[in-house]
Amino acid sequence: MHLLLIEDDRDAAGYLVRALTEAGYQVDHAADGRDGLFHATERDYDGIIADRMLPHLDGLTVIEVLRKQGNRTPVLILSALGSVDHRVEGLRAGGDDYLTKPFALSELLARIEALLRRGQVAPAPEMKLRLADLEMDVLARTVTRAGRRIDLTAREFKLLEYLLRRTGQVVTRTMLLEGVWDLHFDPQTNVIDVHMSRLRQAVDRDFDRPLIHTVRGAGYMVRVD
Amino acid sequence: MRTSALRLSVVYAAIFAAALLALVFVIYLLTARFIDAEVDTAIERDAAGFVEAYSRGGVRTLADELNLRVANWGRSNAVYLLSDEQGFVLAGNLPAWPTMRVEDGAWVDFEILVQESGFETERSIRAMVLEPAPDLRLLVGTDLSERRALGRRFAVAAGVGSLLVTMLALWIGYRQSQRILARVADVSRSCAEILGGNLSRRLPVAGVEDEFDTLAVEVNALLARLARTTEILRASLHSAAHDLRSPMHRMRLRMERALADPVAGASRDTVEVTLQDLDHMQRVLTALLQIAEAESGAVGARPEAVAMDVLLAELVELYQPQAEQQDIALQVSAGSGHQVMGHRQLLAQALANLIDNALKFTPAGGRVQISSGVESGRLVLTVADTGPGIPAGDRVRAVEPFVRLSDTPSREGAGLGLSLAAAVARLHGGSLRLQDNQPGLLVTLDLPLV
Repeated sequence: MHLLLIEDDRDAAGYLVRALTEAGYQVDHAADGRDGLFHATERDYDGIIADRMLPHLDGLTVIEVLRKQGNRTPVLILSALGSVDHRVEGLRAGGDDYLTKPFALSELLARIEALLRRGQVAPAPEMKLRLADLEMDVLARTVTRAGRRIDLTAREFKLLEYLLRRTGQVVTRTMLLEGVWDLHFDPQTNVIDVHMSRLRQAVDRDFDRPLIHTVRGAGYMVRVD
Repeated sequence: MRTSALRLSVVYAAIFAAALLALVFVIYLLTARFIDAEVDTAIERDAAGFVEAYSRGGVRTLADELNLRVANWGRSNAVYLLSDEQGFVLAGNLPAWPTMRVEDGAWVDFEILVQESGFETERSIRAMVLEPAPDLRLLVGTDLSERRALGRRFAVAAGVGSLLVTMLALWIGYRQSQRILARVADVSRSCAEILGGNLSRRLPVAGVEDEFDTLAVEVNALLARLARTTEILRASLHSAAHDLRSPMHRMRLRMERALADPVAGASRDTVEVTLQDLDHMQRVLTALLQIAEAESGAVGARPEAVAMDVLLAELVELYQPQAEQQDIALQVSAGSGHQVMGHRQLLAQALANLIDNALKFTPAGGRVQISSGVESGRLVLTVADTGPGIPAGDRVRAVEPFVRLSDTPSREGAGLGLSLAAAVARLHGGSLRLQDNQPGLLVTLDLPLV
């Protein structure tokens, strides 16, 4: 996977490039908007991470220009501007996700992964989701594990669906809050953890192989061990 | 400014004076013409009398009549002269035929010199010349001097009157412009003072409810709005400094310790605690920015209709598992179909803060009761907990922007949460009130419905 990082803060860019490289990505770095736009049009990247405020050409303009050129590469916007409005502006300009500085590295990695996968997902989403012996029928609203029916509340169902669609990916608490509840703020408490532990009770308690895993310092992941 | 106002009043006074003079002149002309006509009519009537006297008794009767009139002053300022065709004077009060200045048919105008109390004065005469018989010439006229004098007096009176009125107009205009200038100067002085840094200064309102007062009231409202925004900015800076200093202080101490003793200081624990402090700082900063944004009304997103009952149900559902985990009964009784024009994310954040706050301070076994309903066209939403509550003296302050409850460290963080909820309420045209739940805290959020 080849990523382009457009970030003018050399120090931060250095850390990010190292972290992304360690996570297995190949990363190009551009230090300003013009350079970033040049890189993005020259090469076909799998994803772009763009800072919003850049010298010469700001991040939103870079994205707008790319989108006008028909470039569909997923873009994650990084910004020190974090209000609801700023977020909406970023997404309207053509960004696919928006992350406010400062952020946890795990949050960035989880979102990049989600973004890159989203780029590959078939247009019609799967209606029957399967993981090991767990089966979810999205249309019939049923979940079974090893043939046994598992009763979930509507929210728990949505939560599990969100996780199953990202099997093998780290999903952070804020991603869950945004994706499952459509709430874009930091709840400041462990509300999500409580919901996850309930879901876990329902899905994993009576079985030997747990499917829902906690990723320390980052969030959650469903996968077969 | 001063000179332009004065110039304006002078110009108006001049226009006024010119109009006044034109009026007086027209009146004078009309009056003069009327008097001239009167004079001519009197002369014609007089002359007709003489012609009748001649036809009655010839020259003798005519001369007698003439002399009688002269003696008795039959008509004031009358001038008579009867002569033969050679100009020999037969009767009348003129010594000889005068030199005519104007001759217009029978009508003539001339001047004569008269001895009057030792002075020789010139008099203007208007007269009619008749020939009652071929050998007779009769002049019947009127001395116009008195009329002329009247005209002069009239002109003088009109002139003086006009001058007085013009001066009065000038004076009133000047005074009036001075009065307006004084009020403008008041405003300008107040503005200078405000610019000078006295932000609490307001424009003077005279209380006469004129345009100046209306303007002053509007400008004052604008100033109040600006002052409030400035105050919020100041308070947010102050509050940010206060809230960020403690974790920064801790981080600094830890980092210095790590430098001095890399083995013990830079342990994994130290790094984790530092990250927690950073997270805390970030949360504080985010909350402060949100409050500042909501308080200043600088939320750009267009408001949309938000179904508050749905939103409330979602948030209660979000917090329900946590309440159960804390052994707190989270109960809701809400009406349905309540829509508020606003910003969903901000309203959600406000509700989340209220619920979160209630759960945070309610002991195990306690209860958090949420209810919503409509009261006189407004959505009234209450969150009642059975926690320690907030002392009465602190309640009003607690919902003001950026006010921290100084004596209750256990409520740390609650201040910002409630402040943000209050700011969001105000942004939506509503309010947030804190009351005693006996025991606990009763928070009432009211919002205007769509």
